[in-house]
Amino acid sequence: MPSTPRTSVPAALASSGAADGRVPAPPILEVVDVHLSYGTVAALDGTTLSVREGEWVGVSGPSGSGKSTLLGLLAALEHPDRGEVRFRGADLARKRRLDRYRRLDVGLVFQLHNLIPHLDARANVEIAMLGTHLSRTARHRRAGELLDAVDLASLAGRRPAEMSGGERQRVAIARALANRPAVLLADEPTGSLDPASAANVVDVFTRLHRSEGTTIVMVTHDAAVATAADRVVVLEAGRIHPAPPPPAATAPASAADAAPAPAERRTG
Amino acid sequence: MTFAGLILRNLGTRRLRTALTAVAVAISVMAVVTLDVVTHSLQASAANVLLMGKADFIVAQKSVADVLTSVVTEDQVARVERTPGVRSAVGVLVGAINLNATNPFFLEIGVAPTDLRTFGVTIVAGHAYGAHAAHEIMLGWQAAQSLHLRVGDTMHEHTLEGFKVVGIYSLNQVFGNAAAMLPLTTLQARTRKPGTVTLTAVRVDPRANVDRVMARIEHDNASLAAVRLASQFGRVDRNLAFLSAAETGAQIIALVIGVIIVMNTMLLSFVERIREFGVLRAIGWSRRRLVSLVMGETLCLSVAGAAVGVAFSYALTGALEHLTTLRGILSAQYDVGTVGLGLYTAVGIALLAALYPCIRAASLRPGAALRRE
Ligand SMILES: Nc1ncnc2c1ncn2[C@@H]1O[C@H](COP(=O)(O)OP(=O)(O)OP(=O)(O)O)[C@@H](O)[C@H]1O
Ligand SMILES: [Mg+2]
Repeated sequence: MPSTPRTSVPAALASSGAADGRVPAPPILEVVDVHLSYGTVAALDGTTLSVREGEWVGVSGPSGSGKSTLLGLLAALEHPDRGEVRFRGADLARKRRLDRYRRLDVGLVFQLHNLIPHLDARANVEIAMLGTHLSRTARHRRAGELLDAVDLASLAGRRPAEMSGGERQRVAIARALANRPAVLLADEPTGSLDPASAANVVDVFTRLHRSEGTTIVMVTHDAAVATAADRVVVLEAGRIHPAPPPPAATAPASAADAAPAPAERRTG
Repeated sequence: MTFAGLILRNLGTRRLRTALTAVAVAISVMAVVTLDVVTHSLQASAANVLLMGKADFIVAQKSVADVLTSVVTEDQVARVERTPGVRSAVGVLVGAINLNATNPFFLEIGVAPTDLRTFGVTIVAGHAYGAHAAHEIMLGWQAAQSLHLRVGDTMHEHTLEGFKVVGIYSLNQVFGNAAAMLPLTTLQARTRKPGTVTLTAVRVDPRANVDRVMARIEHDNASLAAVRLASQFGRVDRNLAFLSAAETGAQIIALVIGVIIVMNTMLLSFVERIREFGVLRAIGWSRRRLVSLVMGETLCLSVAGAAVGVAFSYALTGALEHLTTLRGILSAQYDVGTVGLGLYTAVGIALLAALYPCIRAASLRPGAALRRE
């Protein structure tokens, strides 16, 4: 697919490119002409998408257009019938240890938090680190730090049923970040939240993106969330379409001189 | 949190179900252990009859139902004694009587007074009975104690009414010491078995090969069997062989029931938790780790059940020992081996019961699992 020049990756990451900073960061995730059907339903039908290191890509589109399926592909939960999904240039279909990829390379946040109901917040975060090289105390400490980072340090001992939707979703984000993944994948993380909680959750993503340069692929219907992303792509009937033009006021100057890719449109 | 901690928390969440399943394991383990302990105790009781006295091996009638019904003629005893390599062959008649409520299974041992020393009897008080004395008896020291009898006393227990205690003896093992000895001819007359004995206690020459002598005796006497080890006793006491077979059968049934109940629980819990397992796979748990979780939960539950089961079994046999019909016959021994058997049983149940749930866990597709409501 055609590359988009001058992406707005964080300065720290962009500096790994050429000295003038104008050479784009390499793609970290690529979906190349992927077809995936559930029986006779073609969920993805020739989908192509490239995500650069440090980029925040929003994915929107009507219900049933294949957004969750696309995210599942990126998380190696689903496998394409045709086409390739690549991580740092390597085809996932050729990876022998997909569980390592899921654990270390990507972090996953679901629409519904999907926390383990009988475990408290801290244990829900620690569970992602079981079986890694981290010691018991290191896991404990890191879970504490992560909960702190999502402003939930005081709720570490609560179970999901004792937390609000937004708090649960922030625990889920902490869990997804446990093993310092290169990419954070989120499927409508604010879909079930009221606007205030949603804003809170978006704030966590924004902070991560700004301070750590975490690559984010986020499915969202929410226009406010979409504006926080670097660019938004639209899925329709299993194909990527250009996003509708953004309100002129929100388009930053840096994006104005960027040539939009045929299938993608940056929004800021 | 550790992996083991997660297993405990998972089990703790479904407390009642975990407890009920552990009880099912406990009942299985209890059945297996109790059957084992009781069978071995009964076998030991029967074996004790065979092991009484000093002998390298014993010879009895082949394949009788109960060794006490074995018939060996005095001619056969003489023939055994003439077998090359045999130093001595003592003919012993053994009978069991219901002496009184506390001694429902009391052994009478008929041995000729001349054979007492060879048979390993030590007289600790009084003297031996006369060869044909009709009303003289010796008591094992434990029998004398429990019956409160001394040398010179006359017995009043009904079947031995009028017998005079002439001596107190000691044998090499408990069963013999809790019994009574009479002149062989007197016991033969009492039990209407003239000219026969129950078994022959054989000792071989120091340089003879015991196995070869045993084989030779069996070869020369088609109706006799020579046995030395507890495992061979089934050849002369078919009841022991049947007991073993019945024990194995009952243990298998107990095991199968345990496996089915535990498998059912683990499968139910697996199906309920498919989404949870899908999440674990999606956040990077390997197949192996997930299978370990299912297996670990099953093992943990089963081992807890085993501990309870062995305790149940101990209480149960304790109660059985007080049943009149089993008093003196059943004396359950619990040791490391018993606890080991309980543990093996529980681990066996866990492995079999977790097999199918583990296969399901290993083949779980995270994408599909996450779409489950
Ligand atoms: N397991 C399945 N079996 C059959 N069809 C499926 C399955 N999962 C998804 N689909 C179909 O695939 C298409 C894409 O589904 P997907 O969940 O990716 O949509 P989506 O864009 O995430 O929708 P929403 O916004 O409602 O979450 C839909 O038409 C859906 O009905
Ligand atoms: Mg969806």
